[in-house]
Amino acid sequence: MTPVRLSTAATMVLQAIAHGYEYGFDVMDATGLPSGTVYPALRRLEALGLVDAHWEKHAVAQKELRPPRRYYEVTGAGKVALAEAVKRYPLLKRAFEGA
Amino acid sequence: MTMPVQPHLRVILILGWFVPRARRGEWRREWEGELAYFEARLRRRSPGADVRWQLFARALGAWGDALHLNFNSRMVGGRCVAPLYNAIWFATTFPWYYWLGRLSVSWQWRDEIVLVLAFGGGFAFERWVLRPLLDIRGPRMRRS
Repeated sequence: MTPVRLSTAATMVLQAIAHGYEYGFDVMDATGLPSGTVYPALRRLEALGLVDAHWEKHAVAQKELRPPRRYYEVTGAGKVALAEAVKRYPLLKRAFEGA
Repeated sequence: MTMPVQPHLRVILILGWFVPRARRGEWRREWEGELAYFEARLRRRSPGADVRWQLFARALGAWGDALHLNFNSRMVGGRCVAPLYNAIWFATTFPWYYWLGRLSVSWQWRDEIVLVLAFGGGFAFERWVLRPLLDIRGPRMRRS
């Protein structure tokens, strides 16, 4: 398998998800990136198999009287790609330290 | 009685037409879910505040996502046209960020902005209003 070379923005998004920011808007708030960057990055990461998307449990959303949200989680391949990408962008490693 | 559709949901409904049909339903549900959560969070933070504009602004952010999915589904000559997305996205958003950033720092860039907008507006007016109105055609469109 050829290694995936992630952009800085995609690495930030992947790192945010790995740190527990599982929803699109949460990733935006955590990274400070606009939706025009975060969502296309999420689509690309999903297409590459680096993140997996699921729907929030209906009961959880219903309790708060809102529709369910779609959440993302890092796959095994995503963890490998993130470790590789963080080596290339050492400053990003510190971005979520203490989060 | 039907409930009126809120402006931010209307934006999602309209932008959904840019998304490929196979993904449209899921795309709308995802944005509606995120916006509903965002609305609940805003209302918790400042109860009774008018959050319509904040929701509307967030919903407009879906434009980039819809455009990305649209371009990724299109093939021209067997090639995906996704790289075009980046070009269009930067061309449409960067100048505004750049200019607004400059304006927020100093008003000395005002003349430059006014000039560029005047040229752009003038060109668009001439191309899409005056020419069709006066039936002026370019040399290549004229038939001998």
